[in-house]
Amino acid sequence: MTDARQPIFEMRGASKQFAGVTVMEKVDLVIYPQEIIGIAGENGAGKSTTLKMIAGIHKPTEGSMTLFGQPYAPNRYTDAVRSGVSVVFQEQALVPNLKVYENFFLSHETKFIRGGLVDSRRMIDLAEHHLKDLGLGHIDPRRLTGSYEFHDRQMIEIAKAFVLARFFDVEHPIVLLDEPTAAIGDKEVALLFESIRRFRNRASFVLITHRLAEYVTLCDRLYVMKDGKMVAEMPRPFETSRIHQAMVGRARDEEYYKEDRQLTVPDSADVVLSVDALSGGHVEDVSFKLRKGEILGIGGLVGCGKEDVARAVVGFEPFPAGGTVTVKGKPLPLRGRNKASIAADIGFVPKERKTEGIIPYLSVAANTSLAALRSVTAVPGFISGARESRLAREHIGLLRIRTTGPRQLLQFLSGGNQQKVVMAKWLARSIDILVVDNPTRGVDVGAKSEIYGLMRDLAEKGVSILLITDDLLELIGLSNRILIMRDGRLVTERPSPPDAKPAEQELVGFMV
Amino acid sequence: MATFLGLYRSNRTLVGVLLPIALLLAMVIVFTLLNERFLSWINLFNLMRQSSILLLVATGTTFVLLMGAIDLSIGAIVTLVAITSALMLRDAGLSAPVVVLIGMAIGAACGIVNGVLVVYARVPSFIATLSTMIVFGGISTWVAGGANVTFRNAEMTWLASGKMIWQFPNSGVWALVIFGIAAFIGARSTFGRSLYAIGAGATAALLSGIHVARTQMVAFVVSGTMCGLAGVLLVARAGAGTARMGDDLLLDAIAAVVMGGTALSGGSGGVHRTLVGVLVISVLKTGLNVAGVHPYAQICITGLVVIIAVTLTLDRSRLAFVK
Repeated sequence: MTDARQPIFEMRGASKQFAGVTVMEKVDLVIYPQEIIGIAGENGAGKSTTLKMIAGIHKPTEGSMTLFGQPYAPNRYTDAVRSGVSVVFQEQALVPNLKVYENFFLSHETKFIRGGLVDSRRMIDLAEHHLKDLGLGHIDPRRLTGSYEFHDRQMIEIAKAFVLARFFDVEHPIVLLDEPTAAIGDKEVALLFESIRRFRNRASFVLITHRLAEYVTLCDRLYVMKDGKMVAEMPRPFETSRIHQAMVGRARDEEYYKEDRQLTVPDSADVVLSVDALSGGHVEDVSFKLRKGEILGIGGLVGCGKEDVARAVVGFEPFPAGGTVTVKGKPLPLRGRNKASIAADIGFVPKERKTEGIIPYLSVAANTSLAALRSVTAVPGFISGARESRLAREHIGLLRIRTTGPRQLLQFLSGGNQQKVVMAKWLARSIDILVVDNPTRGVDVGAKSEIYGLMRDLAEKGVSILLITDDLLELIGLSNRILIMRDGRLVTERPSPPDAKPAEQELVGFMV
Repeated sequence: MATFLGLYRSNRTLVGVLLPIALLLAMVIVFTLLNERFLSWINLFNLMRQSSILLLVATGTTFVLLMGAIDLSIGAIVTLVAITSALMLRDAGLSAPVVVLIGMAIGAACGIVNGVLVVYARVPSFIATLSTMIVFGGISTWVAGGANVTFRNAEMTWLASGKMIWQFPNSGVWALVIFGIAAFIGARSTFGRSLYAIGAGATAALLSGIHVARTQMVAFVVSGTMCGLAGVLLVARAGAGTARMGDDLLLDAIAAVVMGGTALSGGSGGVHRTLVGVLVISVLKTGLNVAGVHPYAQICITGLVVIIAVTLTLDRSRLAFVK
């Protein structure tokens, strides 16, 4: 169905790379006047980057954009605002201890100078006029922004988009909504959507959300992105199953995840880790068991709480404190859980490799022995250089770590090899349980494959692995059993035997 | 010139190690040329005497700096222990060995106070030790009663200026021996490794099972104890406890550690490197004296040399923002 209207915004062939990694590839996108569109896609698909590109926060490495028929290449977000494009951020980019009118005109005060002083009277009048115009007369521009409830602050941010657009003589702004509903309840969502519908005849909206049902409720048109590419454009009505299909649908390479090496773990196997009624922070009532030699995967969207579960097991503050974590029959204490979990032979490969996993300025040898210093001392309390070197060489060989030697500083190794050193650190200690959080993030394909092989090796040796990952294919390919979390709760448990792996669509359905 | 700069940039660590030594040699040459008496035994012993106090304080402080913290109270601790030792010698008539032990204990106690503030009250070390610096300083002045505390004790004099080994002054011997032990501990012990780990990556260290709190506590206590010993030696050499006598050591010690190659942000350098930094400062000060340079000019020149040395040797690759 062709659209006879003229688009107010067009993105053609836009690509974006960060340090050699392509996050957006030849993306085409069109925005018509008075419409609400959505961009759907899973974690890392590129939707947020696309939005930021429209807002001038990222510059395209390839491709072009036009706005209201003119070429559009903003250098900064402020340029975008001056052209009529504003973003409503998840937690608002408003300064809570400033008044509403001050927030509206933040950084544009020079336009209100009269006789060397800022004319706040004019700012307030202008603010009041626009608020009434938008049907938001109940908001007093002279009040502190922080004194308003979340919903009203969201309205203030949307109003700001209109105020600034009008201020820069743009009749019909484009308002980009970056996950506006992620942190709010159903009632506020309803209020927000009602307001957006009210404003749609004077602006166009672009929505990004993780809840597919919201696209269905609000949007006129939906774009779907996958792996940085625009893969679908759908007009109303949309079915959530078709959206899922477009979002994921990839062929999984069984060899890559070494699925033929996946062990069968009987139900009668020993339970090495038991989590009961874990709660606190974003997490609510999560319980599961991990058996010996099993790879248990936990998946879910960003913010679902899976990272917090990992933190609770290893005692990495802050972590959900409610409930119990029992390791090999003994519960872990609340205070000093970090040390207790290490003493219980649990290893932890954290998500943030550079700050939590490795010490970049220390050598390979020093990093490898970090959790096992006692094993490299000849005289108690004093490290034997020879022993430490030997330990490092042993693991360099075992894990095929590409490095010039035990004395090379870790900052000079590639991401994949750095990750191997993190794993070597725990192997040097002989662990029983390994908790890994996104083990192959920022790791090249070759190293990923080796890390998967390593995990299979560990499982064969009887080490149990708790795998937290955002990579859906990895989750499915590696795990014996898969748990999916959403909004802090466990919503499903699905066995994942090599001959009957779940399809991505099936799991995505539980995540969103 | 371009290749020289290129070589310089790609061998930063080597430069960081060699430059202070080269600087030291250059200064020795310059000062000897200015006054041939500079390179005499008498002057060497004088140098040892002058630098022993600084060496002790700087060594202790290196432990704290390695883990990315700072102890600003080191000068005040030296003063406090010096004055209380003088009081003990004058008023309580205690013997020298006892005074040494009590002095070290007071230093350790000050270190415990610092450690508790940083580790348990979670006050950033800069603020915590800035405050204790003021408190310890206040206690010194109060206890001294506003006057100098003189005493006579042959044992104490021997402690600082006696000659156990040939003609070397004792204070120099103590300082070097303790420095040697400390350098060994810093470089080879698990405690030393923990310091580096905490300085270079505290979160990763914690998650790997390093006892961060315990290590931090010990570092502050070690720093305090070394200052305590320095305070005793200082008062032994001076023969009297005067107000603020140790305060200048703070800046000299930090300058010495940084010049030696330990980064203020922690995680690199080492206790063994501090010796070079101490020597640079001591040679500079002694040399300027022997050369007859005006006292005020000496201060300026010392500051200038420190700035130049740090600018050239500081490894900025690890600093995202120079603050």
